[in-house]
Amino acid sequence: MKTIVVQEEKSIGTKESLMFFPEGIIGFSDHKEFEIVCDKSKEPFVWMKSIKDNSLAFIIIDPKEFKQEYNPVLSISDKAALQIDNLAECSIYSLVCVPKQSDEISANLLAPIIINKNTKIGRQVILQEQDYSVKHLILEDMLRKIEDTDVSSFSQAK
Amino acid sequence: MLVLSRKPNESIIIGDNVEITVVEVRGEQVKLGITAPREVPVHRKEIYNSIHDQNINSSKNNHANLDKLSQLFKKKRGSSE
Repeated sequence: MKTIVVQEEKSIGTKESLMFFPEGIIGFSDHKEFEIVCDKSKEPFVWMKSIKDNSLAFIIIDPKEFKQEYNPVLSISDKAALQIDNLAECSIYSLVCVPKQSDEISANLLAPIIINKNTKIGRQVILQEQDYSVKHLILEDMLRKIEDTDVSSFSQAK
Repeated sequence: MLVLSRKPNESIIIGDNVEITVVEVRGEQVKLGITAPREVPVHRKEIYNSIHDQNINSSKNNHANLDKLSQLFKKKRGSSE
């Protein structure tokens, strides 16, 4: 039995944070509603919790935290299912896997979570013909990105 | 598992709106055509399985490590400013 202790858990706001996944997510097709929950102790990681079963919770992250040039291309059927014409109408998240070896933390870039910002309809899409990894290691990229944002501290790097 | 034999250009219909057609058979490779409603996702099984497995891994996160990593990033951000 696992006990989850959450500190300073804060929902963004019930209406804003509730997402509808008509097909659930892969392997969890009967979980059709999720809530995105911010937890300060986990930033920049964010929770995506199942409404049906609160003990089912994924960790997600905005891929821009580690990869500025992430360009998922959605198929016609994904766009139809999400009712969008282009990606600008969507929020994009990657599912994160935090294993026992913390430096092996990875994000799934091949199957991102895409959410229509207006309707809050979401879907886990599998990118076709794009060579992204299901287990993209993110620790180094995230640390480097933080360093790169401040040019002067970068020039002082050993 | 239902096993049916089909020749090239023959089809199978699943439910009311999914159709699978054998487009071509060349040596060991079978080319299949799938007609399904737009919202129905269709994927190669091994890719589907790898994502399924990784999703399960993502639902079993090591919380202690997550807290540690979050603190690491916040500290780094703080010292870069």
